[in-house]
Amino acid sequence: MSNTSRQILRYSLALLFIWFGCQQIFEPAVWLGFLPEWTGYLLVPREMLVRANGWFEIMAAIFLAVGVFTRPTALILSLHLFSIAAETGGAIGVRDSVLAMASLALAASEPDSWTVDSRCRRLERPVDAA
Amino acid sequence: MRINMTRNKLAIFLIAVFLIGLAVIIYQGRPVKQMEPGGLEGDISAVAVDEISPIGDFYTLNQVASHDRSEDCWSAVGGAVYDLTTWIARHPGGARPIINMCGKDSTEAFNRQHGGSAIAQSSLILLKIGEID
Repeated sequence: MSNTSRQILRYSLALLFIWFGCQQIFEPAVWLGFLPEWTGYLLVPREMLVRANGWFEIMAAIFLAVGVFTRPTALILSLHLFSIAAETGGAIGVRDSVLAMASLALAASEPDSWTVDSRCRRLERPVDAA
Repeated sequence: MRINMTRNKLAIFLIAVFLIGLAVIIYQGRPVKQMEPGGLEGDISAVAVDEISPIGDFYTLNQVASHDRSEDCWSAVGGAVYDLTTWIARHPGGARPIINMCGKDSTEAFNRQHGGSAIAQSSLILLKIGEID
C-alpha cells in the first residue's frame, strides 16, 4: 500500500470514528437499540454506556489522526468494530465488518510519513534515512 | 530520543484527556434520585393519600392508571403491580416499549415480547410493589 493510500485510509477512518463518536455523545437515544441485551441488566445507565463508547471512539480517532501509536490504535479499533459487527449482525454487521477490515489493513501496514510515529522512526535512525 | 519522549508525552496527554472526559460522562450520567416537592423520597409525607393502598400492597387498576407518565410509571402484569420508572432508561429494548406500558395492564404486551424469558421475569420481580386488588 502506498504512502498516500495509507494517509487516505488513516484520515478517513479517523473522520468516521469522530463522526460516529459525536453522534453517540450528542444523541445517545438513537444508539440505544444497538446495545447488546445484556447491557440492560448492568447497573449502569444505558445512555452513559453509549456516551462512553462515543468518547472512546473520538479519542481513538484523535490518536489515529495525529498518528500516535497508529498501529496499536488501528488494531484496537478493528477489534472494537468486529465485536460490534458480531453483536449487531445483519446489514449493519456486514458494514462494520468491512470497516473493521479496513482498520486491520491500517494496523498491518507501516505508519505513513505524516504520522508522529513515522517522524520518530526517521529521527531514531538517521543513518537509515541517509 | 527527544521526539520519542514527545510522542509518549502526547499519548499520555491524550489518555489523560480521555480519562477526564470519561469521568465527566460518568458524573453527568449517574442516576440521581428525584426529590419530591413535599419531602424526601420515600418519606410518607410526600406520597399522595390515594396512592396508599387501604389494605397493604394492593392497588386498583385506577390507581395504576394514575401513574401513566415516564417520570412516574406503574404497570400491571399478571395481576401484580410494578413501578417501572427506573427501568425505562435501562430496558434492553429501549425506553419506548416501557413508556407504552405506563398506567396500563400490560400482561399481554409483556407475554408477547418476553414469553417465558427467565431473565425478563427476574428483572421484573425486582420492581414489584404490590398486587391488583
